[in-house]
Amino acid sequence: MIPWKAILSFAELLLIFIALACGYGLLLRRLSDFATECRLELAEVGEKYLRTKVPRVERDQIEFYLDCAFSPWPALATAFLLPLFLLKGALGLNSDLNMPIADHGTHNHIAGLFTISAFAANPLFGILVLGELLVAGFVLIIVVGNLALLKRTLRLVVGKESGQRVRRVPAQLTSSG
Amino acid sequence: MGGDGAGWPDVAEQLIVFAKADTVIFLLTVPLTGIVMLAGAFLFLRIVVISPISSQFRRYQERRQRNKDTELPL
Repeated sequence: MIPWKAILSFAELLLIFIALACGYGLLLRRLSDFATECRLELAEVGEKYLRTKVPRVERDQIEFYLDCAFSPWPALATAFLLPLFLLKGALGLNSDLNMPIADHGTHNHIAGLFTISAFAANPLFGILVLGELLVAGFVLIIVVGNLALLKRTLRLVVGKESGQRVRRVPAQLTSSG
Repeated sequence: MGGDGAGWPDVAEQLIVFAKADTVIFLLTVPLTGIVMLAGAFLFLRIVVISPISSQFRRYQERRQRNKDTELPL
């Protein structure tokens, strides 16, 4: 007689792994379904925007958005680089963010669509990024006790994604805590 | 599976007894169970996840190409 109970106990770890993989796959599929319209709009608006007179640096950024709409790497890289970026922002070292932008409204719209798309491509690290932002926000509120500084830092992060021109955090805000 | 308190030593002992009793059936069942489970999971992911997302990616690339070629102003 075949000891099925023992065999399945032996394969329990494999079953758990398979269940997790299938569950994550289903989540990925559902999120991809939800993001389809955003991605198609990204393709449309992005390509049309690239046909206008766009500065070279901004063009590279938009092309990156369009090329990586389905890639899981941007969310993964953001999860690892965001703490460093936030630290740099807090120290006022983000001087390389001043990017010339032809149309802020359209650029922000494209960046927003890309953010949704990147999240749908890698929800695991996307959630991690959201968590990092929340933790950073709470730390700022607790340590500095200044909501204005928190708003500026968040604007700094969003500005990085959308290529928006952002200013450094003024010294009087950082020294208020 | 193993919910009645049977620990790993019991499981291993049962499998060893089974393997000694009938090596051919053991080799057919134990590794095959794992292979079948993995193959099933791969098939599921291929049909339910990979294929639809690939189709969406193709649509996305087509839309990009179409808008790359168009002369419409923004």
